[in-house]
Order: sequence, then C-alpha cells, then structure tokens
Amino acid sequence: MKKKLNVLLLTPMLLASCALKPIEETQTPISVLAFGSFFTCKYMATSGEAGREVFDFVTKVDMLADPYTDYMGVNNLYRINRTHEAVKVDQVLFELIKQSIDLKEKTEGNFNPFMGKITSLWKTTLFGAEYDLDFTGPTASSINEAKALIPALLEEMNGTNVELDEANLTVKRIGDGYIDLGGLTKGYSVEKVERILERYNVSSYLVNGGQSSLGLGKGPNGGPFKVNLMYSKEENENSFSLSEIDTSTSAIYEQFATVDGVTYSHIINPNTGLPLTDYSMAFLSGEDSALLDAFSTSCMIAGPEKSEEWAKKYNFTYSLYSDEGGFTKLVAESDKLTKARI
Amino acid sequence: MELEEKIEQPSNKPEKKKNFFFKHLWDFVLLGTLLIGTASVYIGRAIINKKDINQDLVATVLFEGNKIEITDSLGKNRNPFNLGDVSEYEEFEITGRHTTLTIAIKHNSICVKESGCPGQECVHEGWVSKANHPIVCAHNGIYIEIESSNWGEITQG
Repeated sequence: MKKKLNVLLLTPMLLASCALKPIEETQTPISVLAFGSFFTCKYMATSGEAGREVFDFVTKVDMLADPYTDYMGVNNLYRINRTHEAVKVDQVLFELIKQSIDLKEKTEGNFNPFMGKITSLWKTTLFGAEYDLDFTGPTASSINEAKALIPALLEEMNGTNVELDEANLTVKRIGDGYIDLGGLTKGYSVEKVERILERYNVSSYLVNGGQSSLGLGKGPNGGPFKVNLMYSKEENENSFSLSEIDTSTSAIYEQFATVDGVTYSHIINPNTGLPLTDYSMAFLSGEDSALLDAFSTSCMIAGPEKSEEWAKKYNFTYSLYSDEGGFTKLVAESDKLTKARI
Repeated sequence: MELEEKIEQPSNKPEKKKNFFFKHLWDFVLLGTLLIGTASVYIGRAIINKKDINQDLVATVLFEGNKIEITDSLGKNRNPFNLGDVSEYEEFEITGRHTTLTIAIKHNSICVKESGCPGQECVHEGWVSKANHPIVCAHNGIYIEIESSNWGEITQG
C-alpha cells in the first residue's frame, strides 16, 4: 500500500518534469551603439557567454571602420584616409577592406568603397553638420553647389584604389578618394556575429544590424521568423516566413530630405554621384550577409534585370520596390522569395 | 452435476468483475491520476505558451547602450515601460547626446513626440506598437527597444 502511494505521488511529478525543458534556455539580449545606429542581438542559450564576444567584436568593427573619428592608437579608416603611406591594420579591417574590393568587382562598381568624400558631401549638405565630425573633405551650402563638385569627385573616386599586403596586414591608399565602408560594415558584422554564436552552439538567434541587415537563426520556438518589411501601405503586405538565412534591405525612407519637391536619400549612385535612385527599396535574402548588404544597394541602383542576373549568379533572392506616395510598390521579385510570402 | 455447474457459471460473472475492480482499485486510481496529471501539465504549458504570444509589450529606453532612469511626477522610475499596463497617455522628457527628446506612451504603444535632432527620423516613426521595431535617434544616442516574449516577428527596413 505504501509502495503504491509512493508511486502515485512520484509518477505525476516525474511526468511533469519530463514535460518541461531539462535545462531552461533564456533569451539573452545585446545592444551596441554602432555604425550610427544600434546593433542588437537576441539568442537562446543556457548562458550569456557569447554575448561578451559579440559586444567586443561589434565595438571593434565600429571603431576600425569609422572614417570620421581618430581613436588614439588605432589604425582605422580615418587614418588610412589621411595618408598615402602603407598603414598596418587589424586583421578585421584588412578583411573588411579586401571584401569591399571583391564586392566592388561583383557589383560591377554599383557598390564602391571609395565614395567616402561624395557620401560625406551629401550627408553634410542634406542633413547638416552633425556628420562633419572630423572631416576634411569638400562641403557645400546648397544642393546645386554640391552637384557642381560631383564630376571632380567622381573622377577622384574612379582613380582611387588600395594596395593590400596580406603578409604584413598593411593597406596603402592610391589616389585621393576616401574609403567609406558604410554600405558593408553592418552586413559584415552580422555575418561574423552569426559565426560567433554558432561557435557557442547557439542555433536560435536574431542578429539585427541596425534594422537593415538581419541574421536569422532558428526562431524562438525552433520555427521560422516572420519578417515584416517597413513602408508597406497595408499591414502584412510584405511579410515573409524565413529561417536560418540572412536578409538585407536598402531603402530611401530613412535619412532623406525633400528639397524643391525632389527627395534625396542617403543612397548614392556611384555612377552619377547623386543621392537619387529609380527604386525605393530592395530586400534581399541569402547566405552571406556582407554580400547581401552590398548587393541590396546595388540592386536598387541597377534595377530588376541586373538584380535577376546577380541573384542567379551569387545565389540570393530579391524583391525590388518603387515608391508610390511614400509607400513601397512591388516591381520585381525572385520566385523563391514569392513562395516565402505569408 | 457438471451440467448444473456449467449453468451456474454465468451467474457468477458480475461478481467476478466486481471483485476484479475492487482488487485493482489502486491501479485504476493510479492510472486515472497519471492521465489527469499528464493532461494538466500539457494544458498548463499550452496556456502559458498562448499567454507568451499575446504578452504585452515592454519598451526600454537606452542612452548610448545603457538603460537610463526615467521618472514620472511621483519620482518613480518607469523605464522599462510596461506598455500593456499603461491606460492613459503620458509624456516624458529625456536628455540625449545633443538635444532633449519627448517620448509619449499609451496602451501598448510608444513614440518620440519631439526631438531636436536634424533628421527627425525618430519622430517620423510615429506610434510603434510592434515588438522588434526599435525607435532610433542616432543623433542623440537614444534607442528604444520594444520587446515581447514573441521575438519571432521582426520589422525590417
């Protein structure tokens, strides 16, 4: 009788404990002020060990890829841009610059890392002096004045390159254009953070590089994420079910200024040097977040035919939008991405 | 005699069944308890999961990556804001890197009402009532993170 009572009491407890997770995984959030925005990361793990490494890595990339600030004892983009001597750099910055050159080739120049002076000129002209932290490039007091400076700056940009010495980790700037990796650093960092998390056996995560680059692991319950694109006219008009993939967007709807009825955005066409594009947003998904970051801007600039060609060649999917009254309107999309729509 | 025994046998069956029930009473109680216990655990978990999905939003205001104290008129720190508990419209002034900002809250929504930043992107976001849709004022180093336990849905742009 006593034995039966013991069994009676213990068995439901045993079953109850089996029904719960043996070691509870908790959500760990990380937020880093980086790349002019916030880099965040959430992941499910039994400990927060990976978080420190993620924080340190993102902070490091932010400092190394900063073209506007001189940090004591750090050879970053600011320093490379102010000399024609070979500069010894950290492995991370070397890899980032090397990748930017590779992506310039792949995007056929629609992503151009030597557009630093043009980018800064437009930022200071359109959005004010807040970006002019320690910048020695050209400035303009009006849009027309800025436009007048563009031909010379484009020529300078096209005449700029870098010499990379892999054995000594040195970077030597050739020409007078400034290096600006703003179109790549978020995607690059998302990709690397994913590798850090995977090294800690984290499979359920969401890496958010300032809202434009996402690294998606498995969803919080092991399922897919629902990704809703902003700037859609209707709620859930552009929603996708995605898992274990990276995504990237480029859009004109943030950091823009409308002057005399013309909307100028922060997306600059390296072919014209102007902050004007025919398309208002590109959304890409694929395996390599850095590649997606460079190509999302390039697809916006080059249009649907080129996007289709690149998507097949470099194994990503895309959807391209034009603007209609301040909202996005779908122009073209990869079949695979259409299937992921909810 | 054999025939009588054979005839009597069916009349004993209900009694045998009754004996079997009483003999195994504890087994039945055990089995029943196990079934009820297991069902309770699974139903309980299902309710908890459902509650998680519909959980109210929580907004955390960060300045340069750190959570800051935002006090109400009673001097009580309200950050992070449990937006689900908010029943009335309220405003709070916070100090950013370069200018001040006014943030406003109402039930399950938050917005930057005013900011001295040149771009005004944070103000243009308007009322946000979705998790994983942060409001960023990079000029002022302000980041408003909006979360619920359902982090499987995210806004990108």
